[in-house]
Amino acid sequence: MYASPAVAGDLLYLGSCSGRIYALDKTTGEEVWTHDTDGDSFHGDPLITDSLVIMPSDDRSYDNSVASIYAFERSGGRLIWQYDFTERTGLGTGATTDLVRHSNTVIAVTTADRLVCLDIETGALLWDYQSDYDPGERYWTSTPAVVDSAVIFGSLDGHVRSLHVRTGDVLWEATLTDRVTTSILAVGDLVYCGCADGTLTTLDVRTGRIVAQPRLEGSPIRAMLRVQVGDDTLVACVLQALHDESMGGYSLVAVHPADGDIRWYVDAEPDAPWSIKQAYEYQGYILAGRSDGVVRLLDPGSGEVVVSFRLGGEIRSVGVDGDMLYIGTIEGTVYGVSVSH
Amino acid sequence: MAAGLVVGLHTASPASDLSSARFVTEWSFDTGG
Repeated sequence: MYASPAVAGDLLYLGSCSGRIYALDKTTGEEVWTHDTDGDSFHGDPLITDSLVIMPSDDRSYDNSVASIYAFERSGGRLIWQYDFTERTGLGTGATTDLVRHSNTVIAVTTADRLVCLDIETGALLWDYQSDYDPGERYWTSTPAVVDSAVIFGSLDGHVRSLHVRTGDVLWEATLTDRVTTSILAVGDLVYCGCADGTLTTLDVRTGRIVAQPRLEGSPIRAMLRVQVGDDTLVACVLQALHDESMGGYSLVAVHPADGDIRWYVDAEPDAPWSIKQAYEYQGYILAGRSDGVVRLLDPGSGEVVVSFRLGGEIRSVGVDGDMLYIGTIEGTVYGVSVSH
Repeated sequence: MAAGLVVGLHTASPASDLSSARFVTEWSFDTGG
């Protein structure tokens, strides 16, 4: 399981790599409804609305099958709409990014690095934008962010672009030094993203001006998390060795984006890399997991390990609801973990 | 206002002390992958 479990009401929603979506009773883990996509796979996090659970799928079987964004009725699992992708790339078809919402639209990035904006009620395509990415490559695309009326899109062609969320018009474009490897993190008037060459770029969200661009010793990957320590805004992220195309990260770091200063770091074990989809927040701590099943909660100011426990499987994704943690593994097991003080 | 990403952690002082908390697996579910 790669997609983060998501809770809404009494139900826990899961999208599995094996192509099934599940709604479970969040208290007991009992199945309430399920839907089999028959060949798709889920990697991006779902989007929950008042009535819908919307999930992006992808398909890497390299045949002529399609992948889709699906919108299901939350309570009973009835399929409300489906938007199909047919474009083929080195990484298959579909969308592996998380979904982002703005008002009555839902936004995703396809495996071909195409930004799509759909009507959230019908799934109709409102506009799209194709980067200059070579579709023969095999890289994961990055989740965009919405800031006011703009979609901030970090792309595999080494650019960050701001597009008007209603029209798709490009408002500004900034050229980076390599392909983007992280989600866009938006904090106030700034946006952050990491690149394959190890640069961590800060941009002015209004103009696209590059404010800072330090180079780290590894590539920041997946989603980044804001950590506020006093007056300092830090970015917590998993670092992957430069030019390493595996899924593992060798270190979890909190870095000052202005100068690249590493405030703290927690290295993984050589044979058990950080396998977590991203650093998550849980009750003010940073939560991360490794390929040997170890889950750790870290103090955000120091990186000190406050809690460590172990589950079976390679830790990939986490959902949080109150005192409960829902932890997914690559092998497909999801654990409902209660926390008592 | 940013949307779409979890960007929390506005303090370096966690809201509660979890160092002595108990983490208990209440259930597990196999999605098959």
